Amino acid sequence: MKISVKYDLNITCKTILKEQLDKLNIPHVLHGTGEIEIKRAISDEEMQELFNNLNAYGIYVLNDQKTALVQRIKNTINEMLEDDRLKSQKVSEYLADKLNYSYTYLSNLFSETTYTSIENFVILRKVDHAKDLMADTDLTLTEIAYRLNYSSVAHLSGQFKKITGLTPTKFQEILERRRGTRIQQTI
Amino acid sequence: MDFKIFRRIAQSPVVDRIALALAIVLLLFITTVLFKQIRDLEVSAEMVSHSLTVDKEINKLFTQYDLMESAEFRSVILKDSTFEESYIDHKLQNDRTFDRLYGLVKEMPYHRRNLDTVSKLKDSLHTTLTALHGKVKPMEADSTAMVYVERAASILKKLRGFKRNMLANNENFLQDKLVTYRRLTFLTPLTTLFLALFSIVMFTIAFFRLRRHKNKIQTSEALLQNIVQSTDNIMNYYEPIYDSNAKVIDFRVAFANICNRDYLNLEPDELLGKPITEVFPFILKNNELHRMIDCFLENKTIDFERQVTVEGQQFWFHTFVRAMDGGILEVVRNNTEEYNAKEKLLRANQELEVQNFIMSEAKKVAKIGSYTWYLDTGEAEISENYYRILGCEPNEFKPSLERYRSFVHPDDLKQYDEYGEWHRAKKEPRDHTYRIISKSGEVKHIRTKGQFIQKDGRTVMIGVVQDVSDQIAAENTLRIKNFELERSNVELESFNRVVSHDLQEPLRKIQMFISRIDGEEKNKLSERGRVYFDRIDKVAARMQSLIRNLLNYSRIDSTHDDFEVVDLNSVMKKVSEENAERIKAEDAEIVWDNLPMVHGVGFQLEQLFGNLVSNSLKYRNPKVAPKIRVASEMVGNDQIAEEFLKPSKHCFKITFSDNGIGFDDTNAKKIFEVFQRLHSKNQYSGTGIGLAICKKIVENHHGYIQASGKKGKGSVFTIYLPA
Amino acid sequence: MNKIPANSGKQILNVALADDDEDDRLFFQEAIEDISIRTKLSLLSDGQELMDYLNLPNIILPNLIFLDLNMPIKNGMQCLKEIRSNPKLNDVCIAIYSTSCSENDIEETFVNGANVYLNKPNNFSKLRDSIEKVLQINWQYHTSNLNRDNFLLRL
Repeated sequence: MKISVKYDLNITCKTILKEQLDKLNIPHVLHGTGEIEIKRAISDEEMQELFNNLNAYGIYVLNDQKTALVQRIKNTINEMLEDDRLKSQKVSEYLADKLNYSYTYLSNLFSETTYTSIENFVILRKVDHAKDLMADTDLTLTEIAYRLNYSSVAHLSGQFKKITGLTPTKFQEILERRRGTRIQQTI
Repeated sequence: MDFKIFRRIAQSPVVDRIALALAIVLLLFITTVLFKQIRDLEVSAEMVSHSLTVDKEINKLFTQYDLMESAEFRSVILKDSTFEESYIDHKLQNDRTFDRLYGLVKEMPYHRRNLDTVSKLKDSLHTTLTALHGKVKPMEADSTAMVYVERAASILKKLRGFKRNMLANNENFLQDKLVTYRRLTFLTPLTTLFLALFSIVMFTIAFFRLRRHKNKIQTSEALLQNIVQSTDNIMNYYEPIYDSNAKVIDFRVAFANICNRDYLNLEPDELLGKPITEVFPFILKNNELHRMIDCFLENKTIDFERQVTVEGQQFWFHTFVRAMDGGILEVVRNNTEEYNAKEKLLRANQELEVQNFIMSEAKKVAKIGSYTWYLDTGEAEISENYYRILGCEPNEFKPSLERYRSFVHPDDLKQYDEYGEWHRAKKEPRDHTYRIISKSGEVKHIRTKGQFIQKDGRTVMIGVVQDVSDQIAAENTLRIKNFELERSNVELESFNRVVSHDLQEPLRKIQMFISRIDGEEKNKLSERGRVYFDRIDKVAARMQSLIRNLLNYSRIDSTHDDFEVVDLNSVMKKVSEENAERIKAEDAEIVWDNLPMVHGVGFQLEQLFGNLVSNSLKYRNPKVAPKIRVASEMVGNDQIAEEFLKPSKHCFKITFSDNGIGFDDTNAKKIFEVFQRLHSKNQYSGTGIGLAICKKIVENHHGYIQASGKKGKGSVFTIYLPA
Repeated sequence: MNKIPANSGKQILNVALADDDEDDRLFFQEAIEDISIRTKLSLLSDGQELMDYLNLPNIILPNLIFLDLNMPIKNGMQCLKEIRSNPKLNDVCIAIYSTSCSENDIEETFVNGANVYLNKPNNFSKLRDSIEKVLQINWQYHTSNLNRDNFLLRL
């Protein structure tokens, strides 16, 4: 049997946070999205336990301003890639402009925190987008390359191969076969 | 019906001829009659005119007598001496008239007689008168004179009487002739008119008849022409040609129909008037001309077959020749198709005979026998070879089911009976193999297949048997061999696995440990230890590449499920891209022509080209920049060396030429063998397996690879792939 | 056992390795310790052990499992199929860690739900680099909202 559910992520998160904080008897106030004010000093052990408990729900504590900024960088990049109008915009300029920091600073911060560079992340993100398009639409590689602002199909293929170790064709083949086995299983 | 006969008779040419003869006779007759009438008319007219002349002359004669007498008298009276002159004058005239008259009445006896009498009278008259004259002297009129006068008077009187008679007689004659003449003048025009009318009638009839005939002839001639021209036979008419001894030596074409063009490609009009030996040279073959001359001379009909080649095509003609109207008619029918069909049939028959012979021989060779088994009576017939299979002499025993069963191997008897039962029930053909024991005790495997047919209202089973003992023995051997092969395949597979996984595993770990030491730990070693360590590293790397290449080699399987159309241009492009770094580093140049599309496995072909390229780069001449050239052409399979199989008529010849160090041509075959190297390991790295892989790939694609080289100049690899 | 690295603010990545070869487990452990990414590594010596481990109650599930294909008792492919058919283990990424480089094997594992295919290298630094790359990308898939359904990586 399958049932469909609808949920409000905001409420879900707040509920989980409240439960977990209450469980450890930590007095707190929940501020808007993603900020918690803790009312008393807590030990490292307590802190670690809380983090671990929250991790199980996929909630991670961004324990400093830097991490928060990195998240903002990622969000901005996502935003940018999804907006057709910003296609030709340079990532560095856009980020610096949008986040009001110098690109060098952002770049260093990002590498330090995520083990990868902004450029790499953009590529990863773009390839991921390409994967989505390959998986969910009937667009041809040429169309996808155009949409994602690649100069040619070869460029897209090259980058795809570099990131995934697979050619786009092979990738599509595997996805198709996966779907086939899945359908067989449900039957 | 009588009417019809009548009509036929009227139309027959004999009647025409008789009628014509009659008409001519009649015409002649009428003409003769007419001619005679005209002649008669002429005669009668002449008679009339003759009578009139006679009449005139008679009158003239007797008048002259009177004149003579009167002239005498006058002279007597007048005593005129002139008398004598006139008298003689009269007398002469009178004689002339008399002679004339006499001539005129020569053929009238009556008048003649009269004239004779008149002549006597005349003479006496003359005498009298003359006498008178002598007496009469002037002025002497005496009695004697008087006597004479009186005598003259009586003669004259008699003469007058004659005159009257003759005139009357002549009148009668004239009247008579006039009657005849009048009759004739009436009859002749009538006859002439009749003749003219008759002629007109005759000509009119003749004209119409002739015209009708002509029309008839024209119609039939046109019909005949039509027939002659529309027939699909050649119809020619020839007239004989004589030599000086009046001997027939040839014929001349007098008529040729359109079929000459159709069959012989000869224009009928151009044939006319020419000798047949000139226009139909083939007539000189097979004595045909002589036969035609004989046919003409003996007035008979002959026919013969003749073969003619027209523009390279062979035709068979059936020819009839018939003597006709001082010439010969030749009718030629094209029976090429019939002839060919006949020929074919004949050949087929011959072939059948040969096949029958072969069949019976083949039965012996293939150890096949046949049988016929009448189900109703249980009678059977088996072929001679069947007896031989059973180890018997032909017809050694009378075949029957029971008798045959005694040959069947006891262990197979049950099955054999079941098969027979099944067979009789189902009446379907089915194979059955069983053993028999021949007369000599030999066990033989027999395969049989039978079928039921209806023959003369009886159900008959016919079938063949084959001694398959040899086959079964061979099959058994094959099965054992196959089993062995399968086992060795499995072994090979597991060997492959051992090489690929089990052998690679420890080696990989050795290399891992090497890489773990290769760092800080290495620095702790002595100088010598570090050298040994580097050696170990190299040896391990070499072993790894050996294993990998061996694996690659063994993985080139010959299953062709994944054959597809591969563009060798894109293969070359990929290969040069893959080797781009190395090409750049070596300052090499790779050029290729427009390469073909071939059937093959893409990645194998990439490996093939890649190996060749890297081979060329590896064995480069250190002094010059490497240059590799790939060319292709389509060639016939006769270019491939004899020792290779030739799967297709055409193939692509792809040549890889380089300007590297080359090799000695005597080693051309060696370099494709696994682990064969022409250089020491120190000189050139490599496992000696790359070209072996190339060879295997090319052979997997049903192609061939050859190498040729010149030491120091470069090498050429030539690949033949089926087009 | 877990060392807390310098940038201690980050969450720890839970990694498991199932491999019957002791040497390989050792290399792997050494390699992962060499990487700056904070990880907690669990080592299992065969497929059955892995499945038992995953089915422990209250277990903190690993984010990423490295799985050797050629193992006694229960091989990698069987484990892969079991994991993929268990909805509870939906979020776990699977990296195949094998010596086999047959294209067929690679495709089969991907089709059966593997995310990463990593050939066992013959050089330690290569191993370390490869693991680092896998962890990095895996980390991106965990921290950024990338579509994990399409997470395929061949090294």
